[in-house]
Amino acid sequence: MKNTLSSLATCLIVFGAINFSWGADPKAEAKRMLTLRAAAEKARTYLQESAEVNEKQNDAVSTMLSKEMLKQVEKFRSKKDGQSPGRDWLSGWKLKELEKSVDGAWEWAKEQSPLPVNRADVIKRATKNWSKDAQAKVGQFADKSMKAVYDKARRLAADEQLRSLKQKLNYPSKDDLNKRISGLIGGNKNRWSPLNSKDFGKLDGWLKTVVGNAGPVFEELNKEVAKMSSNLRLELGNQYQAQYKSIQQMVEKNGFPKELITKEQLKAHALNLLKENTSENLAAKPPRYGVFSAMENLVENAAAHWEVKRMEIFAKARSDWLPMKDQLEQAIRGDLAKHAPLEDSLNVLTEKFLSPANEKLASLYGGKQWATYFKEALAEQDVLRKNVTNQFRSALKERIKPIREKIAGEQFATHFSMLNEKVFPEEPIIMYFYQKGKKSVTDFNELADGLNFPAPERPSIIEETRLLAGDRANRAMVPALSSMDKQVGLVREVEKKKIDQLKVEAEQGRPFAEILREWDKDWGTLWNGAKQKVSERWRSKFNHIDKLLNKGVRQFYDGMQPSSNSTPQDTVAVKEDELGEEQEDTPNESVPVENEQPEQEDENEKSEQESLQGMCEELKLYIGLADGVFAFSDLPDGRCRMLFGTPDGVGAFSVKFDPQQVEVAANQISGSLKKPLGLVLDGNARMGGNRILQLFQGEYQGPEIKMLFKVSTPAVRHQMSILVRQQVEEAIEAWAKKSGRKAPDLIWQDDVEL
Amino acid sequence: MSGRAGGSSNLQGLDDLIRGKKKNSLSLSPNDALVQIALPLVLILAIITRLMVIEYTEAMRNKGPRVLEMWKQQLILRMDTVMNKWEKQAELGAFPDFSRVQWKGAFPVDERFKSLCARAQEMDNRKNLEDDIYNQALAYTPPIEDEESASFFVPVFDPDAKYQPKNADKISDEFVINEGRRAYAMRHIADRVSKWKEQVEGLQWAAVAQCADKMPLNALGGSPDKISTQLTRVASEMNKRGYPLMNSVVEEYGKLDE
Repeated sequence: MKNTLSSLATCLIVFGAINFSWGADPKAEAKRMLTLRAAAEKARTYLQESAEVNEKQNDAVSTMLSKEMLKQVEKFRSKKDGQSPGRDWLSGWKLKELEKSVDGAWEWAKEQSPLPVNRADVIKRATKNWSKDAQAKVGQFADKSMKAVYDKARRLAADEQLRSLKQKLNYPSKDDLNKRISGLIGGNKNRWSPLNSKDFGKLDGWLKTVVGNAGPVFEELNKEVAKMSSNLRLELGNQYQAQYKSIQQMVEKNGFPKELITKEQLKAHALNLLKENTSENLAAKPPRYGVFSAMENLVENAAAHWEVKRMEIFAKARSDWLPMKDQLEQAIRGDLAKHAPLEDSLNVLTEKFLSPANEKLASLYGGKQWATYFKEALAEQDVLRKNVTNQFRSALKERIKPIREKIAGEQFATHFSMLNEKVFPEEPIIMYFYQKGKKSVTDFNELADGLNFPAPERPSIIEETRLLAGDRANRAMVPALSSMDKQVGLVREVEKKKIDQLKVEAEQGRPFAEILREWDKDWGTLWNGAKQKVSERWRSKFNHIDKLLNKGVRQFYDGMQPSSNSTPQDTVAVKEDELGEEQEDTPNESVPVENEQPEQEDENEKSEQESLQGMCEELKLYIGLADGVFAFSDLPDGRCRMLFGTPDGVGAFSVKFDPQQVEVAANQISGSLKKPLGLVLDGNARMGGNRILQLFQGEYQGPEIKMLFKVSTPAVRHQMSILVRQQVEEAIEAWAKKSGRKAPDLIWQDDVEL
Repeated sequence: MSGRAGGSSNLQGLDDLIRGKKKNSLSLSPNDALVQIALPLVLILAIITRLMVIEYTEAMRNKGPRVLEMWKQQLILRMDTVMNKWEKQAELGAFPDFSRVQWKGAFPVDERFKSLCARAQEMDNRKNLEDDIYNQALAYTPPIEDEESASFFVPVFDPDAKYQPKNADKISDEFVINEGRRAYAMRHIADRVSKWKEQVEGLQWAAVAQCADKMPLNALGGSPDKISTQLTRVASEMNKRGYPLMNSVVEEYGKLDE
């Protein structure tokens, strides 16, 4: 209590003394007031100072802001997002600076004044509302200085962070790195080609996580961080490449010492060299990782590769492990039929001689020490066995080539010497192939058929003989067939040109022989203009042309008589499936000769369906002879029937017509033919590439369509063939225009017996 | 019985004394101590102090001889008359303290204070003022109509003074002012001028304080580091309004031209 009282008394005395002095010393009070004014004006000056940061100040403020950014990188990571906190910091800093200035002014005033000076008095005198004015001031400062300060601060902060990141750069451990690099090789563990820089690029994602695990980074450093990881990747790539370079000669160019033959020897040698040339220092920056496990794997795979390859090289360089030529000739001549195709011969010979050859090769290559090892390798290692077998076959092929050529020469001389004679081919042979629509010989059996070569002897004719025969035959056959085709084509032209005149002359009773001479003369005129394009040997007229001209005149001449019209209902389509079944060949396909009476149908009362069925059966006789068949026959009612069919049965139909009215009948047939013919043409166009069997043909001469005009009735004359052929040609042209395809050449085979 | 009890008490006290036990002889409460001891003590001390001050003042007053010498009486009479007149003309008496100064806004609006400030300028050259007062005092002649007062005045003569009376040779030696007497006279004047100066300075400093308090701050800031600038600015503003400040005030922080 006493203490309390004494303290109270002391306070009262001091307080009184102060008040007494204040009131009593106007000079001191005046000085205090003057000091207060001066301090207030100082404080006001700070408020009125320029709101824009100057260059010197900018350096200092930017440095401070950059430090703040480094403390809170997450907040300032994005340049855009960091602007708001950056501006807040700048405002706060300016406010603190203002407060510090005011504090300085206040401290100064306290030193100058003999009486106490309050900070609040200084502020109150400086401005009416210090808080508001100061906030406005710092806001203004932040707005005006933000860009200069913020940009510079970011640069400083980013530079500092980059420097720090470089100092603290993390490197992957050897184990991790080996796993990653081995992972680049992928599932193919036998791969022995080296990784390239592109492969190492796949490590970028992982390396970024290793390098950039120091925490968030400013967005300006994203590229730099990526570059740091890419630099690390380049460093790893360089180490890898350096390791590879030390063994590159061996891995790529078989640079192993000659005496090393097994893969274990090759591997040990390469690994020793690799370790000698590769240093390891995991403490270095960047670390030297030593030999990568991926590189060891590569060496192992390369050793396995070169073990096989070196043996193959040995096998290629030597021939003493292959069977002798005598053995081979003996084997081929022993069974020519088995060795006729080259491939079959190779298969037979390989089967017979490969095993002892391999055994000999293993012995020659491995010597006593490794003979068994390589013998087992040849038996067990798929790659080695396959490569050596291929090599064996390849060597065998070369080795038997002269043997087979010798045999081919012998066979040709024995069986096909006529092909070398000047008279080959005689016209019957040419006709044989022409009637089959051939422009060349495309198949050995076809040739053999044409030459009447005995079938039992054919299997022993080897492939080379067949090719030789085909080649020799085509040398003469191709121009001959071409000449025949052109000569027949001119006959068709004459027919077209003269048919109308022939009608008139036939009615007028002009003699047949006279008309024939005129046709022959016209043909000769046309041929004289066209034969220059034909090989000289084949410029003379074929006997077949005389027959054709005679046949043509005769057909029209005899056919110029009136007849009744047929009706549209006479056309009947045949179901495709009726033609699709296999049927036994009908033995009789004989065609009635001229003036011969057609056979009368015994069952006139058969239903239409039964009649169609019969036609289908008949049509099947011609399947395979042409792309389309026009088969004509008599009907019991005196009319005729035409049946159209195709090899696969597409678009088959039948038409009944009056044979006396040829043009009407031709139009009727033409009308019905358009759609089925279109189907045939489409089908042929799809199958256009089917030339694989044309073995002997020199060059592809464009698409063609073969039509067989088979007449089994005397009522249908050759005029009908010409008219139908004209309609078909027009239909083909129309189809070609419509489909945009090339119109096929029409090969028209008349089988009209006079 | 009571004797036995008292004897027992004494024995107990004796026993406590032998055993060294402390005995609480004072049993006053703090409140009792304040009322019964502290307040009377303070009162007694205050009375004693006051009595000592009165005694000292009286002693000082009675220090000199009770009856002054004639020349001294005459000089004091003359000097006081002149200085009273100066005081009156300067309106010094109107301002025993600063609160008497009329004020409006940041500046005084007071003719008498204006007059005081103007007259106080004389104190900037104090020797002249004191010499002037001395000579005026030597030359002073009371008004003719005031006969009673005139009877108190006897001519005095200072051979070294500026003022010389016409009939100096007729003045007795008792009223001739020699160097010693002049020095006494000048001390008397200086004491009074000092008091004037002190009073005027106090008033002017108070005026400066009030002006500094009320005047708006310089919009441009000026030279805020120098308080002298603030003082100069205030003095200038007052001077413009007819209230010149004494040099001793204006030059507080150094001469103006420095």
